[in-house]
Amino acid sequence: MTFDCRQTHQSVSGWLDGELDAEAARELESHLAECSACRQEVDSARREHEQLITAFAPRRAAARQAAESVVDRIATESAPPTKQTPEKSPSSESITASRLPTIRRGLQLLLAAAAGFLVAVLVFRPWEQPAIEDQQAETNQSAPGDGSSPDGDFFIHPAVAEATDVARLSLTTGPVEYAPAAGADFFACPSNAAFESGAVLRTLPSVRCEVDLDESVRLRLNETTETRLIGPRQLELVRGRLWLDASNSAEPYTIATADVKITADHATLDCQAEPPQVTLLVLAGNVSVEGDDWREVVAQGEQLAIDGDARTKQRPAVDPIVETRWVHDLLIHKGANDEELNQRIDRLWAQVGRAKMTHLYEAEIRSLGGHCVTPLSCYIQSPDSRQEHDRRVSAARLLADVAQVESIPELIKLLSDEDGEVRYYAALALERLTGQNFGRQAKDWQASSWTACQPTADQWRTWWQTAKGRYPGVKGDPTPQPPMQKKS
Amino acid sequence: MSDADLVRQAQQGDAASYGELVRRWSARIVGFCHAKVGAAPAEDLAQETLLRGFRAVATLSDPDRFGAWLRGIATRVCLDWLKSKGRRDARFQAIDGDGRFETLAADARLSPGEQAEVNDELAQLMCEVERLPEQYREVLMIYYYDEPTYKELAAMLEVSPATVNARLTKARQLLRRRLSGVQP
Repeated sequence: MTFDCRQTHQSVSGWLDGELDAEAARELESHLAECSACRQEVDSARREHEQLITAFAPRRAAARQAAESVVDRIATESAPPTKQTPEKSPSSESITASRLPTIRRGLQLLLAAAAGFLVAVLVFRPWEQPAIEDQQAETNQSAPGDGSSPDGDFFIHPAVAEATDVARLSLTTGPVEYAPAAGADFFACPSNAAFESGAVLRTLPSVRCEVDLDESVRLRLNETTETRLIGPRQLELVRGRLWLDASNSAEPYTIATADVKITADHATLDCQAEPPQVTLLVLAGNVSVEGDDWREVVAQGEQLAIDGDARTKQRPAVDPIVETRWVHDLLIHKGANDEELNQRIDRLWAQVGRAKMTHLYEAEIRSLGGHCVTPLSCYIQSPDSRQEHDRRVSAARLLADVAQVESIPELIKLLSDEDGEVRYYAALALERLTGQNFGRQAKDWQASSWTACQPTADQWRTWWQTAKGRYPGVKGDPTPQPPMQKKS
Repeated sequence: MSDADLVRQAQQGDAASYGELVRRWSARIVGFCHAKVGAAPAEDLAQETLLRGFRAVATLSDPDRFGAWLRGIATRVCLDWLKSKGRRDARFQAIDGDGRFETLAADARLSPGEQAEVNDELAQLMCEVERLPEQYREVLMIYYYDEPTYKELAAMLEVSPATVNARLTKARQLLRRRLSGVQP
């Protein structure tokens, strides 16, 4: 019996790639002998396959060159770090010497680490870092522990030279403390510190931090939280609250508390532990929770509260986006227009005027201050918002209330909005921020026609070209998008 | 020698064994990064991935999972790159910018006009490859960068060989459909 057309379509790829077993290939070829439509399909697939091979030829050559570059580079680094390699002294001149050994516990190391941290803390003063965005960018481009710098040379931070790459501190809102092992003394962490298995991290009151864990798992710790990094893919939440994103991780990540084991497999969660109480909120995916003699799967949007032997699973009354508002403190440190923060603001805004407790969402947006200007401004300028007059005006009102000098270009843009109320709120904010109005009161922006207002809008744009030097760090083009402008 | 054997030797400090792994895996990792972030930064990010792998190979507990482990590192490297300086939309810029299709060496059998036509066709093809949904783009790119077996691809992506077959089939069908739409 030969293949039918459907089976043939499903097997063409495997056949072209030589992956079909001999019997299936015979059946497919028999079908092709009888079916001209499938023959045509296969001919077309074969042509495409050959074109793809040709098209990728330069890329394959480039990949081979990339391999040789890496081989050359690792040759200069000598041997990879091994578990058995004896410890060597770190050297500022030799990356090999500083990176090679895996840490062994011992007095010498503790003393060296303590000295390193003290020096680093004194030199880098992590609690006094205004340019967190720059620090973040640097972290991303040149991960400590990896030792690569953006220009391809190598360096290693003296304080982290000996740490294995189980976790890396990527962002903090204040001093974070670290102990190399449970029961050991705590030190202040330098920025970008890397941690090995067994390390204990803790945040102080009003301090939050973000840690990049192995591969693609991201951890955030709320204030007064203590966690121990048990291994590459597991940690213990001793107390406090954490947020873990393992949604892009190839392998599950496990969080242990005193009584339960929580496994996040392609999931994102928020977890609080104040033993014997543990509260888990699943933000994405499914999370498995195990106790001594029970196991539960908690789905996205569900909350599991555990108090000793009692367990309650429910959908929380408060929206998860509001429930996890504590992460905003970290996101706003990532600088203007952080995508995750903007997405969260979009989700909050989507509920304003629609959800039951709309004031809750609006209050949350207001608490983010100037950070919500760009998402709100994008909403006002989006074609979709044209059908939602009341929400557009609400967005403009909110924006006018929270706008900071960084928002001046966006506000000038809105002076050319077709809706007089939107223009009114933009003018109100601009007057508040700059102390000038070019002779047009805010109420006139609403009362007058769009055409009558535009000469003043042009004055604002001209002013911005000369005045922007007075607002260092403020970027943006005040030119409105074409759909905002009326033809007449 | 299998990948797992090379990993074990590398874990004992043999840099040459890791070098061999680099040669075996470089193209697949470049393909993976290309699918994630576009052509322009793919080689640099693949090199970064392979170097990170070199430094962390001692921590790999299951040498049989080397490919999946390396893919995990590549994912992190790409995410970090995207995150830095707000490069979320960089992949799409890459299509129009320096990530565009490289012109092939001239074929002596073709006239300059024919050569230009071939190059245009291939550029259009690569453009459509870039626009495939991620899961199809990923499997197609890794395949054409290195032509691994479905089993090898499945191990790297931690899916079944049947899933690889299904995704490659779908990717190629989508490409044919889209190309026939723009090039009747």
